[in-house]
Amino acid sequence: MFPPMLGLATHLDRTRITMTDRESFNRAVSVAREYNPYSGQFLEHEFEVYDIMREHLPIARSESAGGRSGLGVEGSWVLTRYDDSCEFLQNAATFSNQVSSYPVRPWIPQAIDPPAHSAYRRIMNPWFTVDAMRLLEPHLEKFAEELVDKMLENDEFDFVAEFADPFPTVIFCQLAGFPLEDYQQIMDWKNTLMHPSDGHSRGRELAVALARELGLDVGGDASITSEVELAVRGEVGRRIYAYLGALIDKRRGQPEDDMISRLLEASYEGERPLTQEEMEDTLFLFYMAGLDTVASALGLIVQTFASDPVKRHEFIALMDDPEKASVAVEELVRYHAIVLLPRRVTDDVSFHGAEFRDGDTALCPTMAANRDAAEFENPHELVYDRAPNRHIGFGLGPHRCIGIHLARRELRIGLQVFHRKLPDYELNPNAKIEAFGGMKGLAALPLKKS
Amino acid sequence: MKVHLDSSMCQGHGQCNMSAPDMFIFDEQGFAVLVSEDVPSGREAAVSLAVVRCPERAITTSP
Repeated sequence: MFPPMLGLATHLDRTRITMTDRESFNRAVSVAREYNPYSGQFLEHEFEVYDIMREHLPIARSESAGGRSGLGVEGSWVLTRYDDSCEFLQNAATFSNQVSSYPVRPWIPQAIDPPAHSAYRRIMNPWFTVDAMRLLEPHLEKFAEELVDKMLENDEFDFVAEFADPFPTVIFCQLAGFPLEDYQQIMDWKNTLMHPSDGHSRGRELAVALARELGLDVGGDASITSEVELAVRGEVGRRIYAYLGALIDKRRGQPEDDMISRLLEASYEGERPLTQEEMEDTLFLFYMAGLDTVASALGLIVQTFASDPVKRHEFIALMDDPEKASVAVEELVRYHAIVLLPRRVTDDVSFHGAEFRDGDTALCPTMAANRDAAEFENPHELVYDRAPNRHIGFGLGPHRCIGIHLARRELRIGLQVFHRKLPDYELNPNAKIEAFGGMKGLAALPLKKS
Repeated sequence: MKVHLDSSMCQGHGQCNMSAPDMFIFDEQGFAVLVSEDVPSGREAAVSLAVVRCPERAITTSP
């Protein structure tokens, strides 16, 4: 009775609907219909929303969730159960990464399906191994100390602007071969492209300015319509491509110890060098994936710690034990998973009661799977020695985050260094926390020493 | 105790190496390589931890 009217899957096989359940089921229907993770406000009640959807509509049809992937009004399936999410992410043949959200060209290897995906990953995997990343640890430690020392010269500070953002971004620039003097431009382009309309004020400001520069009508209230957003993303995408192209040209014949030089030397399946476009598409992905992810996780973790001193001191007590610290970081990644993983369905398939059609978009919010009580006991609790802990915060299947071993080290070392120097701090009530949705995170986290 | 690794499932998360570094090493691509199918006595707990930590469920044990 519900689906024809609302376009929602009921999953009668998995969700027994009785008269007493009717009210909560109706509530779930309206929650799923209004599901929109692409705003900062969503974060205030996101886990409540995911719990309701998981219980009543584990594979829900949302008319707003896919809006961003094509930047049009296209609906999407939303998966909230852990088991479904794992099966979904491990089946790259049925659930393709060829989604349509990329400015100019799809990114490599993220938007490519196997077998070409595997060929690209074979080039890049060796750059990100545990051994390669372990060698970076002294450098990560030293740089984190510099940033924290500088930040703590003041009693009040913005943890995101002064640490969570610059720490992974500068490390990324050094690994990739992006000039550090371009830091501000690199951040601005990223914020324009990734955060024009998700609650990130700097991203929005930059997007509005660019829209006006392009002569687009943004109206008196400077609203960003899908059309404006598409134009802005296209333009900033072209500017980034021009920048990446110039960096590659500069490195040609003058190799250094960085990813740009390695891309120039790389061979696709031992058959041919990479084309200029392939190198640009790869660097574009590394650029976007390397900047926001660790920064967002650090911001969200420290926000939790600022308002929960007990959990913070539990972490501080174990963080100098390498084994315990690594296990605790995994739990923090489970708890603060930030990525939404969209896929395109490549066939008409029945998936646990939902009828997917060829061409449909389906979304896996990893934060929903990571809070599924069927897999994780007390899922809304931070349990630093949780075992088993098969969280999917770094993704799952062939597209698993390539920077996993770097991200783990940045998180562990960043948290260790900060808390060694400042174990006691609190939220600064005189300034505002700024949260953004989608690939969620914080744009500002004002703290003060206590 | 015997341990088995399904290499076709491994995506290189590295949790097995974190759990039992003497039993699971990496190839040059960062995928897991099993040192030996026979679990030395005293290493059963570490190997069992690797089993429950692998997100791809690529590791199993048998008596």
